Amino acid sequence: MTPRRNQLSRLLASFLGNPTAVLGAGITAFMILAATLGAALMPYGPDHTDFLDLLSAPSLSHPFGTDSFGRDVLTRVLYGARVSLLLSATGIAIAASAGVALGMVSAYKGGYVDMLLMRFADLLFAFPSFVLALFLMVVLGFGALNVSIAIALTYFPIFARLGRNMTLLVREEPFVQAARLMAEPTPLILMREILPNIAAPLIVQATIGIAFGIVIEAGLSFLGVGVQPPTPSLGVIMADGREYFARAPWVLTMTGATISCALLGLNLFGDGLRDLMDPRLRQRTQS
Amino acid sequence: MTSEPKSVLEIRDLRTRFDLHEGSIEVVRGVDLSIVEGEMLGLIGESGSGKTVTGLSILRLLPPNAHLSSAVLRFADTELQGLSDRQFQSLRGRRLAMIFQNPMGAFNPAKRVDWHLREVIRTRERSDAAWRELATTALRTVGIPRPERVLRLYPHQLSGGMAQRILIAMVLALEPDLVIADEPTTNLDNIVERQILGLFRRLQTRLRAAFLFITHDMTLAAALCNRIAVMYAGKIVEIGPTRQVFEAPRHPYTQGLIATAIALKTRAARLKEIAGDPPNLANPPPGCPFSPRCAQVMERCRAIEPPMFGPPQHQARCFLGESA
Amino acid sequence: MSTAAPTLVQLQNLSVSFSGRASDPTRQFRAVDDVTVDIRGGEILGLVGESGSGKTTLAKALLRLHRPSEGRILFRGVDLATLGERALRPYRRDLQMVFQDPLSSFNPRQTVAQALSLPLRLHAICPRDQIPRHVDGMLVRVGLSPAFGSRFPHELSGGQLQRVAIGRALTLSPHVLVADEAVSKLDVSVRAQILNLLVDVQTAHALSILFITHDLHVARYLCHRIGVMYFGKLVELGPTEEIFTRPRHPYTRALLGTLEENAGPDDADPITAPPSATGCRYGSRCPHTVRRCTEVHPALEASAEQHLVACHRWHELGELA
Repeated sequence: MTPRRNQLSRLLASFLGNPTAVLGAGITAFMILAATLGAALMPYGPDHTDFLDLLSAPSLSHPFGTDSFGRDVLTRVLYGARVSLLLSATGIAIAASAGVALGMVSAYKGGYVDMLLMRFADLLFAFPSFVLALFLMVVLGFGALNVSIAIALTYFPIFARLGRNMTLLVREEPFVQAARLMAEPTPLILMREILPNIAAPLIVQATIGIAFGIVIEAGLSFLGVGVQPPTPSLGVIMADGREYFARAPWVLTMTGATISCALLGLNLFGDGLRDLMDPRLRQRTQS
Repeated sequence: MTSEPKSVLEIRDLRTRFDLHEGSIEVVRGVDLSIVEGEMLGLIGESGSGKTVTGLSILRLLPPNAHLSSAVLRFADTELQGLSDRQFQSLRGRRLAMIFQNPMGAFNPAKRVDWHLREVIRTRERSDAAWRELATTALRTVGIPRPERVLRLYPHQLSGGMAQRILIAMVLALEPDLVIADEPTTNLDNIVERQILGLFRRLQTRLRAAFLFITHDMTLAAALCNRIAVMYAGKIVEIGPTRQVFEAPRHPYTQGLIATAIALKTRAARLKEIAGDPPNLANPPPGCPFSPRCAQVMERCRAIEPPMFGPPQHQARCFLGESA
Repeated sequence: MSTAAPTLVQLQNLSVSFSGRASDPTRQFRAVDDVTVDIRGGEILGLVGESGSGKTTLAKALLRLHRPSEGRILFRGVDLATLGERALRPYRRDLQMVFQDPLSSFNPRQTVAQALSLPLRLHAICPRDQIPRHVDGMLVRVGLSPAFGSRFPHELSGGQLQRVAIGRALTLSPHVLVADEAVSKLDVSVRAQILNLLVDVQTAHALSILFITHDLHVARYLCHRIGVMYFGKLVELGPTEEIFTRPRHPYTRALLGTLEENAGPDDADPITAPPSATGCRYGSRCPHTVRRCTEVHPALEASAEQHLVACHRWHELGELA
């Protein structure tokens, strides 16, 4: 539909005009590409050991050096990034869908349901996210899948609250009242009228959530309660690198730098998206 | 033998444009205005006419994506465009006052009413002594009973009408040379609006200031202003003494506005409409911007934009006035 | 517009309470207090009052956007006040609304055509393939070209959008249309267009319109009868000309006073104390109070044929200017 395409092209143009956003998007895209395609393109596998080349410093053939098994660190980092990203994204996806869905229904219905949900969210909020995630791993058991679940549960209250608050705002808008007057069934109102109009801050939150999900995964795996070796994940590699940090500091540092990069990229991207929403409103002329 | 009233505001060819994603839009497209002391000029226009932006341009309150230019933009003896931001700021706080539609915007939400009045008085008197006396008197002048109680209130505790009164009290205390008011009563109920208008009249008689009263409401302007300027599509299309503009409007747009107001009052069988909508300023039509909607349009109007015609006291930007 | 027109909707002793104002969360706040009024077939009933008078809340209660706390809404013999959402569904078609701000009354993510086809689809008014034609027809009927269908709400002007809003409301062929300050946010030059459209639509469809406004000129122009509200109470009700030429309630007189060119005392109306819970709401501002006014709130009485006033002293005050 032409009007829709017009809107999109305008959005794209504004986005491209924002240097922070472009930088963030660039870094994020690069990292995703590297983790998916790049990993596949590497000449080594993540488990390919070369006992003749243990703990060698970064060089042309091993840009990130090798670890105590002679494995190419860069390859492991790329595969690890893929795992970390996947786990984080899955967790956030679950948190977002469940959280927003519940938040929306809760806000629209109000009353006891709303109160119960918010008290539950408050309960989860009371714990610092990493401590909560750690606790969840102890309860759920170690392993990659549960990392995802832990991330999902940690972020669930954030999305629930965001979804709820945005819905409360939009619910009072005249066009929602008009929909009620037309006897539009509640599920349709939530999907057609409310959700599209609250999507923007949710997307921004999801971007930032993925960034911190990576940090949580890295932390959990670093402590040994998350992804279990030999499966590479950024946290696992860091745990590995910590053991021989004195002799081969590049393993830990390069992995840490990768995480920082990913974080930077995602955060800038999220910021850029947020900026995109705001000044578009303020840029209208007044008469 | 009275002396010539002093010119307070003199504007020639004011142009303001906004840089938007789609390109530049010129919202004020060549406005000429002059106001002398003691005079209230009403600037009438609808949404998109550029009236609010005109006020903001004078006060340097435009957003960063706006650019203004003017051949002359003179306040008393000072050419405003030559002033630095700091110089202008000190001028604006002391000799130029603004009264906006939403009075809350003028208050510091963390400070009480008495603080606000004290600030104003301090600016004026340069001394702090007896400020409370002055503040109380000022509030009483605008019809606030128990001013001692009101002085202790915070802005969020004030109703719209009350806030607007206090704002007017502050303007009274400031004694500026120019007051720009933009839709000061639009958000107020009928009865309160009436009272605030009365206060404006009082302001006008007590101060020797010049007033620019921006509104979309013709009847309001008619009740208060000495002269009226009608804006359409970024330009002034008619300007003259209030009575003349109302009794013998020269521009079809003004005529349409007045006809609608009259039809409403006299409950005509069918209201006179002005067909169509205001023009899209990103793509203004050639010739006179009102031509697509004008019932008396001529071929010429669609091709060439008319200049002002008529005696210097009462002019209209319309070819119909050429012969007159 | 005769008095013989049948009553369409009867609001009986309707009250709408909200719990908790910011200043006093424990107190119940009655936005609409014991209002009885009827809407007749084919008439335009005006509801005037200042902000806080409860006129908008009353209209929204009629449409069941708010739940009334007391009273009845009788429509075709059914009391709508107590029905649940599901039971209300069939009646939704009969009562529609046009909002004050046209832009916020449309989903910004949907085109005009989508907004207009929604009611058609929800209520299966016409077969699926007929919908685009129906939508085009409605656009034309409200004075717009069908090309507007593919535009988004923010691309239309206020006047154009309000036309679409009227069209959308008409899609369901309602019996009662509530217009809540429907022209207040529009430019003066466009206002006339919309008012003319409302009149046309009303005659063509024999609609009843509940027209809420604070603009007395518009009310006088448009409405057959007028109700005046003050702080939740209906203080006066009657044929338009009666109200404007022979206002009985002191508040109505004060309101009408604002219309005069050279109004009298134009300042120093004492800042009002909040209206008393017992006694006449207007008492704290009324220059004619006697003791009875502080004790009991006056009931609506008939001062003339079809003209009701809620004032203890209306007959004495009758001849005052």
